[in-house]
Formats: sequence, structure tokens, C-alpha cells
Amino acid sequence: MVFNSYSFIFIFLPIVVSGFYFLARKNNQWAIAWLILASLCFYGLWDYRYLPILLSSISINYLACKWILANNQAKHSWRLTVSISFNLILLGFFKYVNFFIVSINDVSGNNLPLLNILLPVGISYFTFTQIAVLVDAYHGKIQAIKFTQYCLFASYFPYIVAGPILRHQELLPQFADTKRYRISAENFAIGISIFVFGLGKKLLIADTLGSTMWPLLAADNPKFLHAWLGMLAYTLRLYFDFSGYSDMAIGVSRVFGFKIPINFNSPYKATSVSDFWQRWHISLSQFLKNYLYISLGGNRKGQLVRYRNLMLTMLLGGLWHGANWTFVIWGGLHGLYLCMQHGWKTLQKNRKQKPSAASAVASRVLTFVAVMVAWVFFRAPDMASAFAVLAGMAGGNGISMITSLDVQAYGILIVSAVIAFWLPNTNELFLSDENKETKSVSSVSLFRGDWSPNLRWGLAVGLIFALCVLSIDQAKGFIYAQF
Amino acid sequence: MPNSDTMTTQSAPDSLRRYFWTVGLTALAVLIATVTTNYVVDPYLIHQWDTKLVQRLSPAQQKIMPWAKTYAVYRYRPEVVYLGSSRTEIGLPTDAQLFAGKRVFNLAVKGGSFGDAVNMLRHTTVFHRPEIVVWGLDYGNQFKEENGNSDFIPALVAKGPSYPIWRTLLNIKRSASMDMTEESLKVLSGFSEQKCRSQLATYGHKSSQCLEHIMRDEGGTAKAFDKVMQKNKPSGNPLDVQATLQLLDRVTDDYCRQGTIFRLYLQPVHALAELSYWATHQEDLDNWKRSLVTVIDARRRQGCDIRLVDFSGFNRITSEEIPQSTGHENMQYYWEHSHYRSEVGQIMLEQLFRKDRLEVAGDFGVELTGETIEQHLSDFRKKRSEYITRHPRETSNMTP
Repeated sequence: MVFNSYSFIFIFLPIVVSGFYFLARKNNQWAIAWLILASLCFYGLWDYRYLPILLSSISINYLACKWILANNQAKHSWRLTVSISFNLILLGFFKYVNFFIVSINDVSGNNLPLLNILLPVGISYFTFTQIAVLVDAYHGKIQAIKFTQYCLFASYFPYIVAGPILRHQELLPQFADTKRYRISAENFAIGISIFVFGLGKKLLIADTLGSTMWPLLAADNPKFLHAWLGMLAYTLRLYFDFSGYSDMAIGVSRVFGFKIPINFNSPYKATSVSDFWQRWHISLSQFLKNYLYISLGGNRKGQLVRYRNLMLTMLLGGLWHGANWTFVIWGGLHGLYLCMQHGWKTLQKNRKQKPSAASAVASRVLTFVAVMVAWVFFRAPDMASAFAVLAGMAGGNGISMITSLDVQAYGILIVSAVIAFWLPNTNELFLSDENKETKSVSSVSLFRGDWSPNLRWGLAVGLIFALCVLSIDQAKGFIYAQF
Repeated sequence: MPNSDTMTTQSAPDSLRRYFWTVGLTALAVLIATVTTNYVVDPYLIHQWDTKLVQRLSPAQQKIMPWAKTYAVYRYRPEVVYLGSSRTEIGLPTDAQLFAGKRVFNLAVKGGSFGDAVNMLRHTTVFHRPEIVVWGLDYGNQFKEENGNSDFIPALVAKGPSYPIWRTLLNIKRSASMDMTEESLKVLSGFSEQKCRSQLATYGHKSSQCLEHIMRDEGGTAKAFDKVMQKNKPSGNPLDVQATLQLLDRVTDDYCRQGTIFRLYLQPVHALAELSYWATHQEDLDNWKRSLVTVIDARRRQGCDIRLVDFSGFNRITSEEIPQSTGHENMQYYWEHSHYRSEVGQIMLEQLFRKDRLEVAGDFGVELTGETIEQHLSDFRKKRSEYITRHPRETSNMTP
């Protein structure tokens, strides 16, 4: 089941919300059980064959967590190693085994047969979420954990398919807080409004960009203007697609009274690549930083080791997205960008001069172009396609005027660019009081205006919702759900 | 002086209540207005039959035709139906003298697969069992059970007497869509491309008037042939021939038992398209024809009035000289390499239903039976070689 469907919006969500608050009046545990059941249904409706994998993963990880917590004073690191290995083997088997077979075949010239494996949707997300719990349990950040709460944490339907990747301390205390099980009109209003904005991002912007701009990169060897404009459209589409999903997840969860942290904060307003990673898929960035980069030593062992750690973290981060060398190259490019940025910073350390406004604009443009070039690999199904687009961007495929786009295509491109570059994001509009730090991180906006439950916002949200309902039958899948 | 905190907590529920009402009513008002407009204007004619709107001029490329056709046959209840892909939709006229006095409807749809044709047949049978079925078969990836035309969703196929209610709800749901709203606004504002008679006005047949516009927009007949002559464009073998053949077996068996007359034919694409699509897997194509003959012969032995005729290959019609050779803008028998004109369809219908062969058709149309199949396949290959020899320039980039 997907958020952008009639069945979710008009059947699943109303039933689950009603059931949750009805049961919460009797007993919070029943409400949690109801949400677990709803989450399993939501997940199983993608494909019921995924359910045993999810349930096995949750059960074994819960037992592993208890195992690590038992007599934790002794710090049995091997218990953590075994538990994490289980998760990595599970992920590796379902997601990467065919990738390795293909790679071995390519290198050795063998023709080893591929395995007929079903890739469970969201496996990368629920695996990483649970690895974080295991690590935190080992470090003593968890004292005890109830099975029902753990089960809901690992399977919670708003984020199981495409994140955000949550840490236990961000959600488990909320499950334990009895006050959250009371109906709150404010949570409903904010939750529904954020959900509608996310739905609008997905259906009205991302999907329209996808359906109108695809001819630009349809050719095997796109020309100069086609390649640049096509990649610009893809860059914007990806943002609206994924951040739309995250907004919907945040909004839905808020209706139940549980707050999920933000996952995007106007990433294309970033002034450096490290700034970009503090704004794009924030939960994954934090996971990689906390559980990989820092574990590798971070920046504590000198510059060279720091660069190595950055590269390793980003390469693995790339591989996390998919079993394809294009994702590895994409991650590697970002690792390289980060190394270059830190190297540049070191060189500039002694300069006292404050950056001018012009240099800030230049940094922003440069960061955006670098990110866009890296998306070429992220988007491409194979390396040859990626190099064909890069060749087009470099002018290697010639230049010709674009004749395949209509007014609507240019219109949606301009609108989406204005929103991404110059308008406040969902967090700034709806959650600025709760996420004060994000407001200061974000930058230029053409206007400022916090959401409040008034007539103007009511009309806007109602109109966007109606337009979304009218667009549902043309809805496309979420790009990030495949990871 | 009132305490500001007290004021906030007291006024919050009221403002939130007003907010919910505003969001809900705004969304509802927009949706009701849009759905009503779309339902009344009905730009795709998804619930029209015997209405003035059927005669309204339409764009040359009409959208979501399966919706319009499934509704139309529910009302029209045809006695003769044509099934197949766009080749049949364009090629077989519904005003053939052969069926004078009978209710004829062309149920073929663009991109329609074998499975789509079966679903169309089952759908129309819920309201009235057709007496005659004329069925154009396409080799390649259209010969499959799965859906071929993405607009032909399973919900459109009638399951029983509750269809009118179900269909009304479905039409209302379809009216709640952005693409339909855009088309409605175009119709209302006069910006709709009204170029030719709707397909419903011609009983499902795509008219020549519409095709002329389409061909003009796409650059003409010669341009289409240029593309096909550049290199082979194999259509690909069917994925699961056996399953689809079994479906053909079941369907013809069911309907034959109830007295339905079947005329099946293989599509006469132009000789160059035949070479481009299927020359690289001629063996598979031959085997497919043999398998079809096995099914049809079995039906005939049961006493069914069923015939299978192969119009494809390298005959007088399919070998028509192309604009690049004649210097003419148009062809007599073809719109382009893949789609034949109604004039050809007219000949085919007469050929399918008359025992004596038409003089004008010459070698066009060979009935396939257990007795004729091997000779036909042998002749087919011979004529193919002759065609390639006679047309070295046109076939130079093709590798049979």
C-alpha cells in the first residue's frame, strides 16, 4: 500500500486512526497492538511474501537486543558482532547477492546463474533502524525494552517503506508516554496539513515533472541542453518525490500523536556539500555519521584517516541505496566532494576574511551543480547511460534546441525550482517552533509565514488536497521506496 | 484584563474546528465541482451512447478508448464484434455490406493484447452473446494473456447484472482526475482539437478522417517507412505461447458450443514490416501458425463454424510499392507499414466470409488448415526471398 492512493487516504488511514483512538481510551497497549497490526497490513499489502522476512527480522533482533542487554556490564562485543552480522547477512542476501554474482561474472568471465530472490520493500530501512538499536543497547543507551513497543518501532507503517531512519530514543519514549494517546485537535490539524503538503509535493510536482520532462533524457545520447535541463528536472523531481514521502510520513505519524524528526531541510539551498548532507535525507546522514564514520574513527586520527573515513562512509552509503556500481560511484563522488571541501577549508584556515555575499551565492551554485552531476550516476541504470548523459552535459553529443517540451513542462520546472530554491520548506512552515535549529540552518526565502489554523491556510490545504485527489489516478511509485 | 494564556487555550479549539471545516469544505467543493463538470462534459465519451455527444467532433487520437467502448457495447449489445489491436481498430470497417442489418461493433483497442480481446469478448457477452466474432491475431509480444492496453483496466469488464451501477461509480471516480479536467476545460473553452468523428460515431472503427490527421501530424507515410527500413525492429517472441494458446482453445470451445461463428485472421502488415518485425525468428512464427491451426482444426472437428486465414506475408496487398518508390504521398492499401486501410479490411471481411476467392484479392488470404499449412509456410518463405530480391534497396538494412 502506498500513501498516494485512494485506498490509503480514504479507507486505511481513517480506519486505523479511528481504531487507534477508540482502543487508546480503553488501554494504551491495545492501541499499540492495533498500530502493529495496521503496520503489518500496510507492509503486507505490498506483497504478503515480505511479511515473514519482516517478522523474522523483528523477532530475532528483539531477542538479540535482550541478549546484549543481559549482563551488559561485561560488554560482550561479540554478541553485538553476531547480531549485526545477522542483519548484514539478511540485507546482503536479499539485496546484494545478485549484484556480487554479476560482478564476479563480469570480472572472471564466468556465467554463474543469478538467484531468483524477492527483494523485500524497505529492507534497508528496517535493517538499519534495528542495527542502531543493537549498537545503542551495547553502549548502554537502552536499559530495557518492551516487545510490543519494539515491534511497533521496527514496523511502524509511516516510515517502514522509505524512512526516515529513526533512533530508538526518538520514538520509544513517545510510545511510553500515556499523554500521547489522547486525541489532540492540534496534532490532527498539523498532521493532516503536513500530509497534504507532502502529497502535493509528490503528486502535483514530482509526478508532473516525471511525466512532462522525461523526453529530455529519453535519447541514448542526449544533447547539451537536453542533458542539462533533463538533469535539472530529475534533481528537482527526486527532491519533491522523497521529501514529499517524508512529509507524508511525518504528517501521518503526527495524527497519532507521535512526532517523527524531519528528514529534509531545503537541501538545494546548501552552500557546501557537507551542508547538503545536513539537509538531505538527514536521518540516513546521521546514521552513517553516528554508526559508521565515528566508529571508523571520524576525524580523530588525523586528516588522511579522516579522508579515508569520509570516502568509506560515502561509498557504503552509496551502496546502501542499491546494488549497482552507479550508486557506488555516486557515493564515491560525494566522498570526493567532501574530501575536497575539507581540504579547501584547511587551506583557507588562516584567512580571516569573511565570505562575501557573492561568494555565498557562488558556493550555493557550485554545490548545486556538483550535487546535480552526481545525480547523473544515481539516476542511470548502468555506467554507460551515466557516461552518455555526462558526455551530453559536456557538449560531446552536440547541441540542438529543445522542441519536445510544452508550456506545462516549462511551467512546472520553474514552479518547482522557485519552491526548492526560494520558498520556505515544510518544516519552516509547520514545525518551526519544534525545530528551531532548522530554521536558522535554512537560508534565503522569498517569504516567511508560519502555519496557523486560519482561513487562508485552510483554503490552501483544502485546495491542494482536492488537486491531489484529482491526480491520484496518474500517481507514480516513490523513487526511494525501491531502496 | 483577560489573561492571554487563558484566551489562547479557549480560542484554540474554535480556530481548529473552523480550520477543519475550511479544509474539508474547500476540498469537497472543488471535487464536487470538478467531477460534475467532467461527468457532464465527458470529454472522453466514457458514458455515452445514443446521445448527441457521440456525434461531437473529437481529437484525432482519442484517449482511454477502452472506457468508451466497454460502455458503448453495454448499451449497444452488438451481434457482430471485431477483436484485436489497433490494426483491426483501424482496418476493419463496421459499415460493411456483408453485415447489413446487423449490429456491428469494432472492439479492438490500440496496443490490445490477446488477453484484452478475450476480456472484451467476455464483457460484451454479459449483455448479449455475439453471433459472429472477427478476430485479428498479432504475433509477437501482443500474443499474451496479460493486459496490453494500459487503459483497459479489469474493473471495466462486466461480471454480472450489477454492472450499470458499478460502471456509474467507476465513471464518477474516473471523472475525479486531472487529465479529464484539462480536456473538459479545453472542450468548454473551445480549445479542444476537434478534428474528426468520434470512434463511437463509427461504431468503434477509427475513421479515415482521423487517420489522415494523425498521419499529417506524424510526418506522413514515407517517413514511417523510412524508420522501418533503417534496421530490424524485432517485435519479440510471445513470452508464454502455450498459455495463450490454451486460452484461445478454451474461449473458442466455450463460444463454439453456444453457436458463435469465429473468423480469425493474421494481420496483413506491410511486407517490409513483416521482415523488420519477425524475419529474425521465422521458425518461431511458423510454429505459432502451426499451433493455431491445431486449435482451429480441433474446433472445426467439433462442428464449429470457425476459419483461420493468413493475410500476412508477401502478397499483392502487402507488397504494395511504398512512397519512396512510387513518388506518391499516400499508398492505396496502407496508412503506414503496420496499419492497413479500411479498403483492405473490406476485402478481408469478404474473403473471410465467402467461399469463393475474390479475383481482386489474388493471393491475398490463405486459409490455414492441417492440409494447407505446410505448403503455405513453404510458399511464404519462397515469396519472402523473391520480395527481398525484387526490393534490394528497401531491404538493404534488414537481416532476415
